[in-house]
Amino acid sequence: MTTPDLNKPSAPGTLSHWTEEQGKGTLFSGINIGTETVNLVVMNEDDILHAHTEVTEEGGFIVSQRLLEQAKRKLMLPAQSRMTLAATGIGKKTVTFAQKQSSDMVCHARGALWLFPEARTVLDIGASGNRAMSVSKAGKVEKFALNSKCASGTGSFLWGMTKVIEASFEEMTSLSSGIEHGTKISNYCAVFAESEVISKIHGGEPKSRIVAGIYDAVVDRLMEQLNRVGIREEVVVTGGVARNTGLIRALERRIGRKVRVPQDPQIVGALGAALFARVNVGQE
Amino acid sequence: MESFNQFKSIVESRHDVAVKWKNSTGGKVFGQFCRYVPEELIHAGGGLPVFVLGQIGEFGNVDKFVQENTCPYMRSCYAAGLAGEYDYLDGLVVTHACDMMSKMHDFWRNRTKVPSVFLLDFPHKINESSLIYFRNVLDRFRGYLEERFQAEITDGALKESIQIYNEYRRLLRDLYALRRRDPSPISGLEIHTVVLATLLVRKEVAVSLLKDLLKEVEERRDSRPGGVPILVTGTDVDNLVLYSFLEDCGAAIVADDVCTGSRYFWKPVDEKLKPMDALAERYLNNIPCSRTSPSEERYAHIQELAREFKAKGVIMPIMDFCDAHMFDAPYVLDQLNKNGFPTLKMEIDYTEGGLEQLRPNVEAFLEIISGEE
Amino acid sequence: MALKGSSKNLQTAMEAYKWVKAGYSNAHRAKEEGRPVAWLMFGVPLEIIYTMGIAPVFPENFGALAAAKRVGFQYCEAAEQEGFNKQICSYARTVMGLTIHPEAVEEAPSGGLALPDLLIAPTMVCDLRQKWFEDVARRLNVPAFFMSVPDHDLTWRTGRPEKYQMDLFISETKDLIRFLEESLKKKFDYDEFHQRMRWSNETWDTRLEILELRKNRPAPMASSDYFATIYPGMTGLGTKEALDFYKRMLEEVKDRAEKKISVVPEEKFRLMWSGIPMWFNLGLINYPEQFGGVMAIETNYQALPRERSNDPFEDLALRYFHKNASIAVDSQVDLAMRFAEDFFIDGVILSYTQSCRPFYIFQAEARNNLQEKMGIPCLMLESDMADERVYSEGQVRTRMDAFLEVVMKQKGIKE
Repeated sequence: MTTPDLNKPSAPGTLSHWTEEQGKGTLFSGINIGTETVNLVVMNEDDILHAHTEVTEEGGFIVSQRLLEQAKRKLMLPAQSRMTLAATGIGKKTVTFAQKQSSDMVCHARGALWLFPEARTVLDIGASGNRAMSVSKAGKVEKFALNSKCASGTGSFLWGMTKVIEASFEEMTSLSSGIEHGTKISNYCAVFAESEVISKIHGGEPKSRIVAGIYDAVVDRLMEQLNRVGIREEVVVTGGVARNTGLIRALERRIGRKVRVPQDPQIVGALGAALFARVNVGQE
Repeated sequence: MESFNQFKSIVESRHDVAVKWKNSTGGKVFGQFCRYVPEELIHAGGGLPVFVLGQIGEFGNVDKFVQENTCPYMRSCYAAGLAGEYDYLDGLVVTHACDMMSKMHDFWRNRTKVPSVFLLDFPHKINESSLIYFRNVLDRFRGYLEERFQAEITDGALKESIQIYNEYRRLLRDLYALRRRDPSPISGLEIHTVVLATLLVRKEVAVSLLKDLLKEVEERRDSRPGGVPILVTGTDVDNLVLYSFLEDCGAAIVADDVCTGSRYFWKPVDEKLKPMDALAERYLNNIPCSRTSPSEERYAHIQELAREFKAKGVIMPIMDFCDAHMFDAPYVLDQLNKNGFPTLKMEIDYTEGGLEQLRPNVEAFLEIISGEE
Repeated sequence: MALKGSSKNLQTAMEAYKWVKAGYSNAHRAKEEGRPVAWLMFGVPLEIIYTMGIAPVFPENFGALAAAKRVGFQYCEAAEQEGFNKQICSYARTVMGLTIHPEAVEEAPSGGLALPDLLIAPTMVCDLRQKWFEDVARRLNVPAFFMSVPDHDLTWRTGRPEKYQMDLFISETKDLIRFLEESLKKKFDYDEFHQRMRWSNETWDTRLEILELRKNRPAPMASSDYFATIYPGMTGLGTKEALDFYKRMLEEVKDRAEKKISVVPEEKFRLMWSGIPMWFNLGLINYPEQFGGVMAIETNYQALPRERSNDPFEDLALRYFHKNASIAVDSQVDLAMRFAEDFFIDGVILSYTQSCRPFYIFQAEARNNLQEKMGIPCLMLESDMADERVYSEGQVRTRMDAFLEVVMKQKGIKE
């Protein structure tokens, strides 16, 4: 891996020159084309300057162009400027104009480590799947574990449950707070688990205990992956579902330690891609 | 490559190929699922042994007769049988080589138009008594074939067939050896297409095709796409889609330990022994399948191949519900990890959608082991 | 339809749990006292094991026991963390979980499994049994012996095995004896062996008599009694105690049959249970009783009529090869149909245990044949034998009720 020589003065007329003049530093961006969501991160060497998350059905090529235009306007960059872009996520190949591509998992690890340099275990809880990674100090992914096929993705599982419980994510968090032992929900198939919950509601079980039980069931699934990679401090949790405080608390209780959740847990993949774009700096 | 295209078209039009052969020679076609069948016996009687294959993602109305939660590959083959695609078979040899496969005996007998099904028992353990037993099994198999052929299978014919098969095995080993080049002149998808095609034609035809192919591959100069060198081990009988998928993700498959790959042809039959003894000995002592014990030889074979072909990592695709391979996996993968080979286990379900779901994992794995961070 | 244990009718069935406890504690005691302990798969000739003074342990049974105690799935989870796929036999996952992570459950049922000095498995029934013990042998560094036996799917049609098939079985049996003699530095007592063979054959005959009595209407016992009482037959074959147990059971069943004492006040319909039960929910077997339905018979683990020989090795081989023991698809379908007729069955429940494929793969065809050829309604219940996470109360309840409605309607019973 070559380290860019950031001290070298850049030629006039180039983006690097312009952004340096503006005091913004050299810029890089990363775009994560997921199944439902697209994330964009624009950064310089020190900071994230712009981050955007959007749920969309547009194709990767179109939406990346649109989001980049949007980013340039926000950062007041000249319209014709270009910055090095790396793409990740399931749709990364559609972003044909990206200079580099990197796999989603590796980007996640990279991003998490940048946010929390002490991160050694990264757990990504997504809509359709969870995965755990153990990361070395140098940022190399050592082990990874993915959820087995039949186990439901956490995001969609919880989403289904909000309908059954008839409560929002926030309401679920407050419902379950303070409950040490929830109702046991043993079925790992989302469809059957939902009917299990329904029958418990009809059985008169208090919702607070059921929600705690739902969180416990989700944590059971997450522990499968965590145990396979080994839990080492610090544990960082990423992915949109990490915003669910009730779930995070249940996880912390289970592993007996606090976890770190980024302020914006959804952009970690795109952040990692932007960091990857940095390797290619110097060309426009 | 000119000669490669011939292999490709054999796989794609395999039923036509078999029927054409049958019509032009008047010979008998025998289907089989497993490499433990001593094909030389069928060949010596003038028959054509063909591997029965499924069609990825195609399961027809099999659920009516065989529950889900069973080997998707066997179910797909059965769907083909039920749809009449194998009506041209004169017999089907079902090996007791894995639970699901051996149960296929009754299913095919009861509901397809294949006129006769023979259950070939295969011992679970390799030892002296098993060898004697297996020799007896082969005698009965020979008797069954002679009855189907309405003709004797002579020792002389058997000796000749063994020679042809051994030549075939040598040629495939030569072809495999070319993969040691970096980059390999033949891709994983190409080589598996070649091997699969040779399971569908008479071996003398395969020999002639392979000779031409070898010449072309040796001289191949157009640059092959790079890729992370990978060894594939696991349940795979016919899954060309899997190989093309892996190579599309960025792997270069340089070696394999699968039933329709190296395990099929790795060891020759000893031509110095009497033919029936030689067959019993070779088929029993061939690189063991996951369900046969002792398994140490198979584990050693995997490690040896990984080293010889300089694989950077090992990918293990395991078919859903394949007990034997699933049980082996923790130990095999652990041993490989300890010996410096990173590993990735893939759960495959014989559908294309199932593979696509695994793309992020495969790509991440390849990126991590290629050290390109 | 919450998970619960079954209710039993026979006194002997209610006592049978003592057998299970005794088996486990005997093995623990043997370990403490330095006597040899062996882990066995079902199918190993127990007469040989008992003759050598070995304390047997049955890991497959532990899978059932842990499930019945409602902790099995925790061991399964532990095994899955080690890389054992969820689709693998739940008995195996339970035991691998116990072996690698005994801490997964605070109090292991019956103290768990005493650690083995030897492992013995026959290669019959399924491939996994051999792989399982191969793995355990590696982890615990314990010698393992695999009895390689011919596939008995071959012989069920002809009924009589050929000499070369008998030869393999017998030579493997003798190899087993040699293996035990060498491992335990002890000579095999052939006299004791012959005595034990006599006991086991008498046990077999006694169990056959009990089976015949179950054809009586009303049924003198239910499947719940049967599943509770198979333990001595599967783990104690060749002991005097097992023989005495079944003699007592026979007396009890005979008595009830004569006096027409039945399972329900009025037997309105009879059901057959096919497949491995859900050990964590045996109570399901009693569910139809509230409607006057009795689970009159089940298709697995039965002692059935077979050929005999005076030579004990031949006799063991014939026991293995007997027609009715084959799990070939046709054999099991045939058995299901014969039982449905002989035991006057009005409906069949097919317990579709997802992680045991060799055993249930015949069930779709069994259903097809029973329904189409005999007009007997069938219900396929999807779950697992030991992993209670794969159980859906709602689904089972709805389907069960619908099925019972069909059965009762067909019989002209008003609810």
